Amino acid sequence: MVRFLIHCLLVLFCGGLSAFAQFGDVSEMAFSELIAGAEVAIKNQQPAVAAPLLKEIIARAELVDDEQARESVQMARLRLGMALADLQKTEEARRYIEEYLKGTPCEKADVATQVLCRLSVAEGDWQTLYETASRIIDDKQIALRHKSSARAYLVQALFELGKYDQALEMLPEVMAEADDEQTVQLLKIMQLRALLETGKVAGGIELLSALFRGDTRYDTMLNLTLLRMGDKMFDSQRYNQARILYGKITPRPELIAWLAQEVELLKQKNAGRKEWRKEDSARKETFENNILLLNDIPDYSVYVTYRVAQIFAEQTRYWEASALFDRLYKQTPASDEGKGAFLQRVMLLFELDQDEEAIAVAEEYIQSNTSGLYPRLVCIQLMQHYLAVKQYDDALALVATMDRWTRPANDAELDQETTLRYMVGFTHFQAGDYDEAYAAFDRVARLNPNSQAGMDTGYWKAMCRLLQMKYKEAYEAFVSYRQTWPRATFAPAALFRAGVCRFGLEDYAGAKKAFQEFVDSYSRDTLMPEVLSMLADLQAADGQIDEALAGYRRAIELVKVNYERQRDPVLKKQIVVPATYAVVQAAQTLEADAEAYREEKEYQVATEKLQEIITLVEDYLDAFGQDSDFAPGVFWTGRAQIQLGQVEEAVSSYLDAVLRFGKEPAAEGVADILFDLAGIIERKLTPEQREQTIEKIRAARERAATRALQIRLDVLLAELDDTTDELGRTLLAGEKDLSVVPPAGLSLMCAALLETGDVSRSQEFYDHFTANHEGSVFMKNAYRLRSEELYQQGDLDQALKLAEETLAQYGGSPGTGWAQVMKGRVQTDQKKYEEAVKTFKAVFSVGAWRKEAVAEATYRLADAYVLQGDYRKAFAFFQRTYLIYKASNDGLWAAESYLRSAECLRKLGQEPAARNTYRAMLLDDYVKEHPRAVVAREALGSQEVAELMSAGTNAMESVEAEVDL
Amino acid sequence: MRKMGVIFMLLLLCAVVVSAGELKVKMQLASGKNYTGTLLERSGDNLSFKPSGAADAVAVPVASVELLEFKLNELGLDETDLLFRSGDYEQLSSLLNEKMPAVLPYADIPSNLESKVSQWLTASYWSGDYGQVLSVAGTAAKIRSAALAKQALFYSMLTFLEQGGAARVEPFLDTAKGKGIFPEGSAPRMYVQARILLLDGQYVPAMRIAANLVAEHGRDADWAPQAELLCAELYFKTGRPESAQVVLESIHECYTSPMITKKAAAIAAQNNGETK
Repeated sequence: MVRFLIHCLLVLFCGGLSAFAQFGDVSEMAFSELIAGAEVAIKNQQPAVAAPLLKEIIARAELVDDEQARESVQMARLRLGMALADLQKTEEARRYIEEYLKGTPCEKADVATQVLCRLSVAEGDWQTLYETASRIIDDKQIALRHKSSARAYLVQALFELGKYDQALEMLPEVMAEADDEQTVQLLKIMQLRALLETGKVAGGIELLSALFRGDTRYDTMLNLTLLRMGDKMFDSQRYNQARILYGKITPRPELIAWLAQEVELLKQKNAGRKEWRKEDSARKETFENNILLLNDIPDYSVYVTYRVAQIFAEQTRYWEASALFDRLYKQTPASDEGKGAFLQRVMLLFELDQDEEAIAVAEEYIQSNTSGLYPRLVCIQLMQHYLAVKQYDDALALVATMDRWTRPANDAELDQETTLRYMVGFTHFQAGDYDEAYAAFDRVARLNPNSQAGMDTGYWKAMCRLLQMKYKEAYEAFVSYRQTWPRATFAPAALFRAGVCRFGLEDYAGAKKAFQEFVDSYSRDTLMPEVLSMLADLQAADGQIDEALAGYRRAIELVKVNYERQRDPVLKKQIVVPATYAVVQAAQTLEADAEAYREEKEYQVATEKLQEIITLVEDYLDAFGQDSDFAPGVFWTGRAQIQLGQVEEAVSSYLDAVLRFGKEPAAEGVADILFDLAGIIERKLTPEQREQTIEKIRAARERAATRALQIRLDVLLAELDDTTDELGRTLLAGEKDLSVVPPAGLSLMCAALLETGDVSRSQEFYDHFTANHEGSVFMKNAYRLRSEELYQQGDLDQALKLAEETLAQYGGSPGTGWAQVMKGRVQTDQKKYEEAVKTFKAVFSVGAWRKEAVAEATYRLADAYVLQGDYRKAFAFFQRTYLIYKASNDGLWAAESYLRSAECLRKLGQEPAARNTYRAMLLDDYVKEHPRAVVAREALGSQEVAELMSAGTNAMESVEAEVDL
Repeated sequence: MRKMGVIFMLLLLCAVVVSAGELKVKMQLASGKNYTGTLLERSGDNLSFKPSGAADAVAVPVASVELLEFKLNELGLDETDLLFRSGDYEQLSSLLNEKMPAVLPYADIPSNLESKVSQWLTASYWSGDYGQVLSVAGTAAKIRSAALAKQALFYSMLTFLEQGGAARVEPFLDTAKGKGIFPEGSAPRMYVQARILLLDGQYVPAMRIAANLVAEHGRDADWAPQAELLCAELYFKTGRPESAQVVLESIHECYTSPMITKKAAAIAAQNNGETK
């Protein structure tokens, strides 16, 4: 009945709604007017109009106690609740809904509870929403078809309450029930977030990928959500997830362009229509609002790209990071992000060993950008690279570019400029250009005097002078530095160096004073071991033996402590160096002390001193193991033992050291020990001891753990029984893998090749030595072999270069005489006869070359004179060769000299003398069986030869010529 | 009773007709007439077609058919668009492999199947079924469509590359056709270039392109995982196994496609073995 009445009145009043405004106060309206007005307002979605009317209805109908009135009140309560919810007056709305739910009749309880759900959403009260939605779903009175929105509310509540797993379980069903595309979209976004929150990243990414295949990637809210979620992942250090999310975000310009394009398409679609289609109108409004929103916010594209690049770099995916930074720089070169991206790229290129590219782009950048912070930062990268690879010239070439920049405009630029100029100073310093280094450091001090670098330049300027041995100036600079900056980082080092300056000025008392001050003031400083040793050296020189020894021991103990603390294996090895020095110095001091006691006939004390050396060295070797420098250690132990008459013990010490440290081909220091050992065996042992020792060596050889050690011991045995040539030949035939052969063995192999004249493997041996044993004393034969091959190939310049390198490296030591001779040979071939003569003559002045090279040098000297046409001098030196150096090279030079001297005599018109020379050759036991003797036999003829052989005598020939050497 | 028997027989007949692989179509002839009915079979240049309501089938010359419009939902092909849009290639490939053979005898006749063949090509490639790609390309060749032919060539070239045919693909890139199908700066072209360089042992140049692929096309749902696989392999080859492992972990974390995970596992197995 009430409904019928409402319907009739609706018809009458629907067109007159506008007249409602004229009524003003609702309390003056008739009940029927109230109802009609409310219905119209609700139908027209005018909650503000409906609300007071509904309130008035309730107020009046509540007073009437009949069923229809109660129905009206309930209906009004429900509708009022809905209207107030629309007006976002949530509290008031909730009150009326709850009154409805408590009242009767309550036929639309499902609608009422859904309104409550809406209210909870508006208030963000997710727990209440959860409870309310759950109640609807569990309520069997409510039809299933009314429960779908409740499920949607429940899923939202679960999500907002962080119950993601439960939300994920419900979402597929809720999405299937959703009416419109927009709701599905929102639910998918919720699903995406839940997947990510629960760590189901792969599922989230797959969903994202699926979502982003179509136009969904242009959904503004989705993109902004991804941005927010990416930030959240980044902030919680879930970088990979952050990267993936950021990577999906559509760049803002692209997004805006798409939105604008869609608006345009909608305009074209609705062109000519009186009124736009409702859905098109709504879409256009949404798109235009999104464009405004996007234009209002900063462009996130740069920020997102930078973050993704940073994440790649953090994950060591340097190539991807570099590509992104490059893209960013090209996109926005003038912005801070762009400049920062450029710097990052340069650093990454160096990290990727793309040095050429890094240098090219960095150099171009600093040439074209002459002001600001970033050119300086980029330049620092370049400078660091050049210093690391020791390309000092390239580092210094940057100064010209730096000098073209504008002055630093702020503190940040000044700091970087200071760093750069400081590095310039160091570059000069490392290159040994101390004047230039001094000037560069001075510039830093003037540029930024109160900076750390500015402070430290005082020390480095003083160091420049010290290394130039300008001790007075250096001393004053160190002292001044300490006075100006007494607590500076280098203050202790400056005191130490000041002591070194006093030492350089031969003011030993001053040096001692400085070192003692250091020891008293800086007991924890890292330089303490060195200072203790230097002070101990001075004390030992002053006869303060006990003080000196105490100093050395203290230095060693300090190093032990530092060694134990250090974890880095490279640094551990470096730390040991001062202890090695202290041990050697202490050993020398103890030895000298023992000698002094022996002179005083206090043999027991002398013995104790020598024993102390052994204990000291053993302690050192035990403390530092493989990082110790065992060669000097073993040397001093052996030396002490020999002086103690413990020769066998000395031999054992040496042999133990070889067995312990000589397993690898590259073992340094073993060569010296083997050399000493061979000397001791040769000179210090009785024949019986010698035999026993050789047996020990043979036994050790059989047990040797590596091939390298076996060969080392084979070389030692061969040196003892003079069978090194044979060993060389054996190694050459048997050793295919050079990497297992120690340098001593390689040297014998080269010697064997030289013996046979086979130079074909010279490059192989030379390269192997260069790569693995550069600087080894055993490389001389490899140099010789290589030089000989180059000479034979006609590459005289390279042959000469190697010979000169050998002489520069090893000087006039045994095994380098050939190099001097090679020089002369090349000069002879280049027709520089006078130089060749000088070169050959120089061989005679080097004692170490007298056995190995003088025969050939004399021969070639004579040959040089021949080429100059001076046959007299030539004859004299040929004769000298065959008279003095008969046995050299199995008679080779003597034989050749006989024949060449005969030629000289012929040239001088002395045929009989020439024939006599042939006779002399055939009577000379050293050369008569030499293959070259056949020339003499042919020259004389068989009959004369037979006669000569039976007679057995001949006269010596001579020619007047100066034999000047 | 008799009436029931007739009805039963009719129903049985329908079932028999359906189960024999007959295809519901709308046939448009060159004469302009349209007929709905059932395609029964093809015999050379003739189609056996039973119009709706007709008792018997008639032979229709293929040459007289203007267009065949298949009932895609009855063929079970109505879901393919959704699967394609969501990039579910494995499932799509499986579905098309199952359903498409029925229509293959009619492939050379103009029809509404072009989009399905296109999807079939795409799905076959992206699900790693390279043999199928070439087979479908053969089918596509029968359909006189320039767009489809271009697509078939595109996927055929990519398949050749996967099957060790870099020597065939490389010169093609430089042709006008190749530049059209693989435009400069496009993700496929960059991918192909990087793969060719990788196979040629030019690891650093390949790495550069792969990195740029990630930078420029990281949002491409199809090419992004391929770029990641390439980066993983190239980090191994350039002596950076730690970086390679990071990439592989990222792939494992982010992609569930069986083809991608299988390829990632193969890269890991091969290179970890080499590293050891």
